[in-house]
Amino acid sequence: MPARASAAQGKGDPTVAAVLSWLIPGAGHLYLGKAGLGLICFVIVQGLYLAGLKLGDGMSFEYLDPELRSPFAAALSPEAGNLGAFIYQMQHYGFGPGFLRPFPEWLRLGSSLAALSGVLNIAVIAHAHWCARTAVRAPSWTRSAPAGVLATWFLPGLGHWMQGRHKRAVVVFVLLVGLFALGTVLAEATNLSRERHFYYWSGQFLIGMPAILAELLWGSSRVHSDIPYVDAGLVFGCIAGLLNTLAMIDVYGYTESKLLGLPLRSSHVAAEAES
Amino acid sequence: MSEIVVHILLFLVASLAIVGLGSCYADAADGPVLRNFPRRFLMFLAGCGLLAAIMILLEHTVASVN
Repeated sequence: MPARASAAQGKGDPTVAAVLSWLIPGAGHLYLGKAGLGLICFVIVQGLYLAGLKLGDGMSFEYLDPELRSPFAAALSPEAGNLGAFIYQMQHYGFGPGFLRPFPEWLRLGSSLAALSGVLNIAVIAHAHWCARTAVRAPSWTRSAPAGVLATWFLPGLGHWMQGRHKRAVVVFVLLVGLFALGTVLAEATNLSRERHFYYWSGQFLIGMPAILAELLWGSSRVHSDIPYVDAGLVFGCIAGLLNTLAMIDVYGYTESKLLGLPLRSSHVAAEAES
Repeated sequence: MSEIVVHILLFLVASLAIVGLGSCYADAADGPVLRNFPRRFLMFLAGCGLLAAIMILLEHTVASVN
């Protein structure tokens, strides 16, 4: 660890704090002696998952086609960000009783809330890791690295904008939201249904509000004829979400460098270090 | 518009987003991102072209069902 970062050490093992938070939201903060914050994280993140389970009667993994079901098949979903709750759902509900039954009215909302819980827990994990690693704090919560990650998930480019990197924010927004919009047009909005495309939906959920908003508006569209470019549309939507994780890491790394006084990431320096 | 042209255009759009975000991830400053973008984009296209050529070659040789 560079000298300036180690000068302000945190008071725990970052890996332990992160893993504890992954298993039980807030447990990492409890381990670091931040019981109040840990409790708040636990209530919000687990509350969202529990609300999702109740609204959807725990049936969101029954969206998966029977031939795709396996012990780890559901792990490629945003819910896995809240590992403890995800394991609980797999243990108690799994893929259902093995026969077809009607989906509850609120299953779509429930499934989105559980997925949101997983994404929120990523920010909780990042915060616990940061607190364990260093005693350096951002001037305000909105300028912290986890807040930037969450903002970037919510709207691609928002995290960069909050950092004052406005040009990059616009580029990220145009590229990712544009790619997602093009995918939605090509797939004629069929990409917005988790029931139809479980895995692609999981990928594009990482683009946040654009995907949620589009699903609210056009998620129930019916298919009347063959959709010629549906495959391309699904891939585009999913790629847009996955690329947003790169944007989140970029935002996190920039804040980290600024607060800890580390050199900014540079491909030129990285290439020199490798050689 | 013919199918192949549409597919190439769609591929270029996806490539633009992939290389754009990859460039942003590689450099924290905007200057190097803009400077290196054309080279990165061409490298990406060349890499994908090579991969496609290998796949076509394999499809017509060892992986051929005929």
